[in-house]
Amino acid sequence: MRRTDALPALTVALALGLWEVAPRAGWVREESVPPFSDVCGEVVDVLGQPAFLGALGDSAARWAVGLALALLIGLPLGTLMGRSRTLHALIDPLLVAGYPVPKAALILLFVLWWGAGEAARVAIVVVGCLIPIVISSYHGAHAVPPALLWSARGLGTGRLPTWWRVILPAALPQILSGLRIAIAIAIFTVLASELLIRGSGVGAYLFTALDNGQTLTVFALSTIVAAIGFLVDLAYVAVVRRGLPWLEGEV
Amino acid sequence: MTRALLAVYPFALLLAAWWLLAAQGVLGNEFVMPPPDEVWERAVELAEDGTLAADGLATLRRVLLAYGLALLAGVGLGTLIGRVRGVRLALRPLVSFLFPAPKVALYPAMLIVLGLGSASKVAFGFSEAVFPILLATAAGTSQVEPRLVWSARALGTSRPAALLRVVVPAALPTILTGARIALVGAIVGVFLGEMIAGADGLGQMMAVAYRTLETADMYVAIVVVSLGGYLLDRLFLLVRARLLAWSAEERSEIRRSARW
Repeated sequence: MRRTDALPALTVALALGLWEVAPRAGWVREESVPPFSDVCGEVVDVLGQPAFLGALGDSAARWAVGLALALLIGLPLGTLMGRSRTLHALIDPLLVAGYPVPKAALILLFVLWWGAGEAARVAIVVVGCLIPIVISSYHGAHAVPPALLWSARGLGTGRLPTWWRVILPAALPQILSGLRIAIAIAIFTVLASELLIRGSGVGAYLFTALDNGQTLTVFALSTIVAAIGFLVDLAYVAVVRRGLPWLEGEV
Repeated sequence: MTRALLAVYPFALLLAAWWLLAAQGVLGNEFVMPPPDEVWERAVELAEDGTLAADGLATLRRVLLAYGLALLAGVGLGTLIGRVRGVRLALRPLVSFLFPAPKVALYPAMLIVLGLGSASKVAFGFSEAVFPILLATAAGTSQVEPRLVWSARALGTSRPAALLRVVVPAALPTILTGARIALVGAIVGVFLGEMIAGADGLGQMMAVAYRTLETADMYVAIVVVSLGGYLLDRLFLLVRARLLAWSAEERSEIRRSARW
């Protein structure tokens, strides 16, 4: 074992130790940064609250439905753009112009148009994660070797089966790395929009704790949500590597 | 000519769609969806009484500060992670935990620690911007042609100087790819931070307009911030083209991805 092999564990211990000691020793005010052990206890408490689990369920449902709809729109659009110059020329400038728009902020306009219901809350997730899905499936489909397409078409495969059985699988590596980004953006968008319009979900739950001055709960919720983001990403990469070993760690 | 048309086309299409939707009342009446000319008039009013400039500048200052700090920290730490094994091992768990974590969830904690003023918005923008730069820099610097570094070292360049003058420039194309994503990250972070809790800036302008039902102001705020983001992104591409002009390969790469 090399001396440096212990380094990762050491830094984690150091970071958490600092988080524990700094408030206790008075380096930062304990009212603004609760020590790590207190936050851990609160995390356990929060995870046992039915109200929190309900909010988590609401957020997760919006995330899943929004992401699924974005895939349903983005995959065909992106892959078609990859195979059609005209469509690419038409859509690409729109994506470039839409790219710097802070998507989560549009939730306030959506609420004006459609009310503060589920439609607005799901639509914002679709808008938030559409661009990475379209871009990655465009790049994937654009890079499909023409020989594959000629072979399939030459053997009498129809247009739709060619799309489904040749273009989509060949574009899969890029699509899957785009999806990884989209998953993270979708989580961000759900939370940000819930922080803006409250009502329900983890974002609203977090903000209620902030408004009530429950600092410990805020830190516990932030920790939980950050951990969820990390674990979802970890799980996604693990599933993709297991399910599609031929990708060889490209995602 | 075609390029100019292509650059104008999305805005023309957007304006036409907006105007049509407003005229037909598809999304609601004039209150919910004012036509573009009404929003333009409101924008002119806000520009004349100075509020638009004040809020816009407040947001721009925060974005530039957050982005500048993210560039410093991201390129600095990223280079060390890419080139020094000990640093890479030490920081890996922290970076791999924080990178996929949704930073917006940490914003309430930033508000508690840093207060309601500018600092918490800059911190939010920074947290959104730093990871794309850091990861791109780490990836780019770890793949620099070893011969370049050997030559520099053999000619008597010290190790830190070789990092700064050989490794970072050689990794610049990759670094700038991350830096471009980070720019939008900084804008989104600052704007949302201002929306969620703030005293000034375009984000706060939008949030206040929503609460007071000054709907036209909401459109002004979102259009201005998006347009600002678009212009900063264009400016970034210009700067990148200058910085990377040394490599013919890069030049064709830039031309190919000019719009991405």
